[in-house]
This record gives sequence, C-alpha cells and structure tokens, in this order.
Amino acid sequence: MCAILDANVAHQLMSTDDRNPGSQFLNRIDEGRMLLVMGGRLSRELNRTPIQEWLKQALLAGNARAYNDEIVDRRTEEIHESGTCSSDDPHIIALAQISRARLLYTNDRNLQSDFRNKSLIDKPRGKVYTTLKYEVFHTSHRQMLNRSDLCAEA
Amino acid sequence: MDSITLENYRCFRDRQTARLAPLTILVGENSTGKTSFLASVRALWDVAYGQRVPDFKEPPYDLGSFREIAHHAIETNTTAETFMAGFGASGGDNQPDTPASSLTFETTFRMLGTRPVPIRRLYSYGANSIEEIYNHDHVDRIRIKTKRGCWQQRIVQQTRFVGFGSRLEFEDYLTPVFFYLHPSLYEETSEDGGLQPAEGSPPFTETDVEEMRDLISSYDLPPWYRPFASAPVRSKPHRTYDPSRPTWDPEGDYIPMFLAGLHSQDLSAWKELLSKLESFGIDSGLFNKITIKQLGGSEGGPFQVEIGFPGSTERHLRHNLIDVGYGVSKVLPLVTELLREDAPKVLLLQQPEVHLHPSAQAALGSLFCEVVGDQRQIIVETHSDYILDRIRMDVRDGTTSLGADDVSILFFERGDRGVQIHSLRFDELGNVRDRPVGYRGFFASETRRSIGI
Repeated sequence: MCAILDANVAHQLMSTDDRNPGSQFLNRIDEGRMLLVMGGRLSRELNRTPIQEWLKQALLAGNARAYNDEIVDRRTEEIHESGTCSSDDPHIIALAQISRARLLYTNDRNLQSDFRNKSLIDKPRGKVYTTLKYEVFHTSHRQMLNRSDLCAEA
Repeated sequence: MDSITLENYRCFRDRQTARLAPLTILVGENSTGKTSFLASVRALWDVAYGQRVPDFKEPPYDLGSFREIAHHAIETNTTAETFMAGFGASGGDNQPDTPASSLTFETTFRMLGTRPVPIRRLYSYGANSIEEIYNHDHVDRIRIKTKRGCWQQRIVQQTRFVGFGSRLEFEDYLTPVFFYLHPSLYEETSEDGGLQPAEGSPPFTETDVEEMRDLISSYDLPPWYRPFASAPVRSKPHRTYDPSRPTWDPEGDYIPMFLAGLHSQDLSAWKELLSKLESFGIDSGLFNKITIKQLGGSEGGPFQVEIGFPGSTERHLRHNLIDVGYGVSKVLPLVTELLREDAPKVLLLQQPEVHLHPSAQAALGSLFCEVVGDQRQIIVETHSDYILDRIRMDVRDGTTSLGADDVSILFFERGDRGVQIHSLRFDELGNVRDRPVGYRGFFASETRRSIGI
C-alpha cells in the first residue's frame, strides 16, 4: 500500500505511544508494510519537519519513495490552473495522481474533500487517515492501514 | 559476470542467485557470508577461465578445508557432501548484431583429501553446452549439446593431457574442456571411441564444433582478467622504502614500489596517475599532493613517499606517509589499483572505508562510480552508509555515467536456513527497489531513538 503524509500532521508521527494513530502509521512504514511516497513541494515541506532524519532513513531502506520533483511540480501547476482543487494543496493531489497512492494522512478538511473527489482521485478512490474524529488509534484506522488496494505498486 | 549462484556453500544452503552489476555493493551484518561470496567469485573464475582447482586459502581469503566450506546444517549436524557455484555473464560480444545469449557456468565441488575439488563443470552459451563429469579424481565423461542433438563420450585414457592434469590428486590444473572438441578426440577413431550420439542425435561433426564457436571464445579470457582481491587490512607504511620489484599482495605492500617505479621509468604514466590520485585526494579531503622523494640523489635508490595537505604547498609542510593518519596509507593502495592505467578488470574489495573519515568514504563511493563501466567491474563489501548513499545520489543526480541498472545491492540476511542474499537495486530517482521486509531495520530503530520517537 502507498500513502501520502501531509506535512501539517508530520509532527503526529513523533510519538512513542502506540495508541497514537501517527505512531501506528509510522510503524507500518518502518516495517516495510506501507510505502510512503513523496515528491515536489511535499518533499520540500516534509524535509523541514522534525521527521526529516527519519525520512532519509526510510528512503535508504526503500520504505519511502521519491517521485520526480519536476514532474510533480508541473502537474501541481496544471491542477492549480484548472481550479478543480478547493484546498491549497494541489501538490498533494498531483503526487497522488502520479504515484497512484490512495491513502492520505491529513487533518485538513478541504484537502480531505479534494482527496475524496472522484474527479481528482479515482480508481481506486482516495481514503483519508485522520485524527480529527478519533485521536486514539481506532478500528477505522486499523482497517485503513490493513487495506492492500490503495496503491498501484505496493 | 552478471550473476552468481551458490548452493551448500558456506552459510548459503538453498540454491540462490544474486545479481551482479558493473558496481555491486555487498551489505549486511557481520558473519553473513559477504567475504565468502567474494571468494566464490575468484574461485569461479579460476575453475571456468583459469582451468585450475581454486585455492580457497589463497590470501586475502582463508575459507579453510572442504569441511569448513561446505554448508553445515545445524539441525541435522551434517555437512553437505558437495557444494555448487556458478555464474551468468553477458554473451553476444562476438556478434554485435545479434541479441546477447546467456553465458552460464556451473561447477560442483566435493572433498578430495581435505580440499574441495571440482567434480563437474558445465559451460553453456545459449542452446550449446559442454559438461565435464569427474568420477572421484579423474574425468569420467564429457557431454555436449547443440541445437542438432547431444553426445557423450566416456573417457578411458587418463594420461593423454600430460601437463594439464586430467587427474586431480596431484595437479592443480584442469583439462581445458574445449580440447575435447578436437577431431582427433571426438571422432570414432579416437582412443575413447569418440563422441557417441544420444537420444537419436546425428553423428557429431565439424558443424557442431562450429556451432560451439561462440561458447569457446566466450570462455577464452587472458589471465590478467583474473579478479583482483584486496584485503580489508592494508599495507603498513614505512618511513623509507628500499626499491624492489613490486610483487602483488592483497594488502598492497607493493604499491609504494609500483609508484616509485612508475615515477622513475615512465614519467608520462606517472603524471597521469598522479593527477588522478591527487584529484581524489582533494575530493576526499585526504591530501592534495603525493611526492616520491629519492634519497641519495639517484634514481633506483631508497625513497620515501611524502604527502601534502590542502594549503601545504611548501616542501616543509609535506609529511612522510608514516607520519600522516592511517586513512591515507590504508586507502592509497586501493585508490592506486582503481586508477592505474592497467587497472584490474574485476576488483573484489573488502571494507574500503576502514580508517576513513565519512567525507573520504563518500568520495570513495564517487570514485567507484567513476571507474566502473563496460570493461570494469567492482564488487565491494562495505558497512559504510556514506559509500552507499553517495553512489545512490550520484546515480540519482546523474553525476556519474552509471545508470540505475549498473548498480546492484546485495543484502545478506541470516535466516533459519542459512543466509539469504537479496538482490536490491536503485531506480533512476535513487529509490531503493526490491528490498525485503526488515531491510535496514537497525538504522530505522536507531534513528527513531535518536530523534525521540
């Protein structure tokens, strides 16, 4: 499964408490059971968060995958100019379209709406991992992490 | 070589094949068989190309006798009676307009006395193959296959290849199998009755020999293609060297003599090599100047190797090799081997990062990328993340002519049934592909602890 991490929730991964959804998300990646994808503006944003050292190790371990920044940035510009995004995160939609990652960890409501928008993300539809509804790791979180169909290439 | 296959060899129990590339990096914990793997590459070369029984105790490796080399299954407390090794290589060099055929070689070893000796050798190229089978210590049968059919010859007369050692007991040299393709041997009138058709095949003729031509030429490599094996512990520097004929050794003791010889005998080659050495020295931060200082004012007398550091252009700021950090004296033999004009075609390196600062380790990674190519292969065993990551970045950023497929990462992982070799690769964006679950688990947990998660 491939997943995208919104830089605005990256700090939620900095937890040692297994009841934290961020911690479980990170564990899946470290165990090699979920692939974190990045590229373009999102890579630059993530590299300014407290998890940047961990990200580097995830890349070296093959648990994270970088996509071509230029291609992602170009697609971001196209989405932005089309005006189809309600959020100010077309770079995340662009990355999802290019990488075919269909799980997004974010608490941004506008971005969640965009990610679930069939005209932006489809085949399969996008799923959102969030702590807005449950702050403690919940069955719905587990079910989402256990899905195997949210990526073109796992 | 494009791949290595091993079975029942040292810690490698199940038959498995590892992908080799122009630049192959061996990674994994201690005692997971990386050095044994390197030793297998040289041993395979000896059996396939060198036509000799490999010496598994030849420095820098010492794998012991047969019982130490054949896999020992702990649960049954038994040692395998035979072990096999093989390789695949790109073919088609002789016919550039045709697609490359697969060139493969396999050999099986068993114990004779206390040492391992080959009891079977199989040379293949596309659909053609020649197989030599031993019975105890002598060649027993030859089997040949081409598109037209297959043939077999039982070898009765054991003494005809005097000097090539068709018996293994006292000789280290093996019969070049292609000798069997000589008409005096394969025709019915030969002493052994010649090659006998099997499974309804037509008689073996000159047409079949012609068919085998690519196979024969593919295995015809000169001795200087033999892999160069470097030791992890390298030369101890001396204050003054007495000139002598440089004799190769895996620790690189001969390198100062080699440099001094070049300095006195071939000035243009010396200047070219010196320029490359100093360029690496600057990139790595190790040194910016190397000087051969002749003592007594005459060529051919004792000499010293002096090292200059960035900013130390004045003579008094140069230091004797013995007075500088271990990093310089340990890496100099290795870098010289990599950069010399007549550099070995295949280099087997063990932990080249020993004693080097991370910046120099990273520079070494770039140097590997720079010197490998179609005609040069490097297989390097390392624990250095700086070497590995520099190679990854150079491939990603296009600062090397190496493409993503030109680098192979072999991850050695200990498991219930011995060690498994995982063939990983980089993609063109520097991502690690085909990694097993748990790859670099230690580094992940260490980083998490470091940043407090």
